[in-house]
Amino acid sequence: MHRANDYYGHSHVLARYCGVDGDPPPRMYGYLQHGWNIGDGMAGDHEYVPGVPLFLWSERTRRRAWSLGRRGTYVVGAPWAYLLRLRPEPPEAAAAREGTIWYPFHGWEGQHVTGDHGRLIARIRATEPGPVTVCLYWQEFRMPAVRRRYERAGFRVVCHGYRGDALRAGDPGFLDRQLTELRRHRRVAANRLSSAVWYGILAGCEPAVYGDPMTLSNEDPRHGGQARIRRQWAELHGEQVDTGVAYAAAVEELGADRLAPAAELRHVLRWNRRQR
Amino acid sequence: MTYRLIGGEMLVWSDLDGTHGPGPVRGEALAPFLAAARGRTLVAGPHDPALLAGLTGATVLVRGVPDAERLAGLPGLEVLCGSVAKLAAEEPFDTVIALDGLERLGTAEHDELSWAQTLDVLRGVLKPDGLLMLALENPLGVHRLVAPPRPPSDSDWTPAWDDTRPAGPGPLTGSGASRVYALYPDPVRPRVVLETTRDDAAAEAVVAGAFDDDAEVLTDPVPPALASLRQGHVLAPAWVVVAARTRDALRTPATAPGAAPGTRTLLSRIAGAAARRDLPAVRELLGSWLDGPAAGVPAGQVLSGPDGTLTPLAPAGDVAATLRDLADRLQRGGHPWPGSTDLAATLAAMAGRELAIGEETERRALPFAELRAERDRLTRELAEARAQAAFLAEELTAREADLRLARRTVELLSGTGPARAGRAFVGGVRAARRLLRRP
Repeated sequence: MHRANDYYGHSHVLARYCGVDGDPPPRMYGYLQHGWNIGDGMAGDHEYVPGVPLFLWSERTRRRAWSLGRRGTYVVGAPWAYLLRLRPEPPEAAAAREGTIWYPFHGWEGQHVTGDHGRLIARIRATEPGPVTVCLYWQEFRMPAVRRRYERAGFRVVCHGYRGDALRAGDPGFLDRQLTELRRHRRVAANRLSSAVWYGILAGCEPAVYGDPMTLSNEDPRHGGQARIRRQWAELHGEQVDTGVAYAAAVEELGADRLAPAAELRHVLRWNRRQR
Repeated sequence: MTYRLIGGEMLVWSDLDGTHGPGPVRGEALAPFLAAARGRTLVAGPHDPALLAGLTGATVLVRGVPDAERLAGLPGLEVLCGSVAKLAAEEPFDTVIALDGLERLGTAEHDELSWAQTLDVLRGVLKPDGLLMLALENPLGVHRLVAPPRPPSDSDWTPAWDDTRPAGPGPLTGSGASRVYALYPDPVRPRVVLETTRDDAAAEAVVAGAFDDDAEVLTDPVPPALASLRQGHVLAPAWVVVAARTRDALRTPATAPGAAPGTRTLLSRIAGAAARRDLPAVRELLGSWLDGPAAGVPAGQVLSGPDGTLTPLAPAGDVAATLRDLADRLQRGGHPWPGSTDLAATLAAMAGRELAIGEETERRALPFAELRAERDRLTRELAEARAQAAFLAEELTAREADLRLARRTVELLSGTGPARAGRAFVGGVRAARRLLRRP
């Protein structure tokens, strides 16, 4: 229904899980939540059409969406959690993990982050014991100045790919690359609690959230913003975090405990041949 | 046999033929009460003659002469005809049965006794260690809550509410020994009789099955009836109190089905999980149903034990039909699935199954409340369909604009010098290749 369903290759992941062929995957009937958020699960760039189902990641988001007047929601869990089912980690791979993958907070297209990259770099070096990989958003990855700053600090710099926009689908290999990277590292860290941190926790990384969270121009303060995230998930902030607590929270936020069987997902997304 | 006129009788009146009211209290479900009678027995009020068949030697009180004549034709009954007010002169009884309640014991010929006075008369003819079985209609019974308004019948000559009548069975249980039974689906034609302590799945299943699916009602009586079952049957259409002064004197009629403590029907478990939006629980329940011996048995007819064991109460039939039935019942309450179409197939898919489930050919008659909900749903869905059509038209316009732009770009590019040179080059290569391939 909406291009955002193809962001990060989400529809491709679900199509793989469902055993549905086609490139691009068939159009899904509804809006799929495409990032972790503290609102009703929908992003600002979704134009909402009445009667079209909203496929949400977690029960908490569903309850919140309901309280905000959203009906016709259905919790299916995050595509990330489905990807982890499709690609279970080989037992011997976990031992080979080392270092930290660090996600500096980024803005989206049209937003600009202001903050001190230099101080952040110093903090990362002081905190992380092993080798550090920094993952940049595609916009920043293309800015040689930003990229070079992190490289000069001795960090490996990567980008998972293009997210997608209203006209172009996202890179279908985005999440696969992200999973491969995350599984190379023992820790995942960021200056803001975000989808990437939750993904890392679910993929078996120890999480950490520290450093200047940076400020974002025209940031949407409707749902309480960073202050609220820090209050509500206080136990996930800090350089060392209880991994058990973090894992349970990630399971909840990504709906990993309530994934639908493939037959059900095919049915609610209207991907069965007779429904299309 | 003949009958005895005791005074106040109504000459051209019958309760038994059903022309002036709902007919006599009737149904197999009441037989255990009559079977529990002992000694000299009085049956007061209009009871179906079929229920009286085994009561040899019993005394029956009716108010209409045609009814007295009819009952006098049955073997072994002593028939009294007239008003309950004239009963005081009779010899005392060991058992007094009034399964129709006390409302149809007075006659139009007599100043009416209040409910409490009528009870006093009946107690007056009961021996001190006698057994009383008395029905009491529930003014808040689910049968009343869902009934469309009806004009009063011929028997409602004084339809005013009697303040002396208790609202529940509590005051009738008194200081002696007693048991209270709930009757469903209505006081006159009960199909199900259960002790009010029963709240297990076997009780749920029979109560849900007691109501006619095609009765003309304002709203579906089953959900409130089932909710009330867990609150001591407070919404039961009627109760029967069986009371005696001592535990030894009490006789307790056996009712079916037997208790299954700690159980719920599978339907109630699925509906509960759906209402809580507990999708993993719904999936697990559906899976255990469709993968086990209870597949094809309606979910309301499957007992689910505390450990999740399923016990079917009915033979298995068509799986698709039971899924359609479950979908229909879930749709009457709140459910988590978006949209309203194809829920039965969604349920099958939740258990990992692809089932093509056809539409039900014949839909049940909808109660008024559901008709209204249906109207609201259709109105909303129409508005949504219009909004979606408008959205899609807008999207189409945008894509067409993109396509025009792309075509123009292609045309522009194909008209440029490099493009022409490129085409000439490709043409030359093709010609050369053709030439070389010739033998």
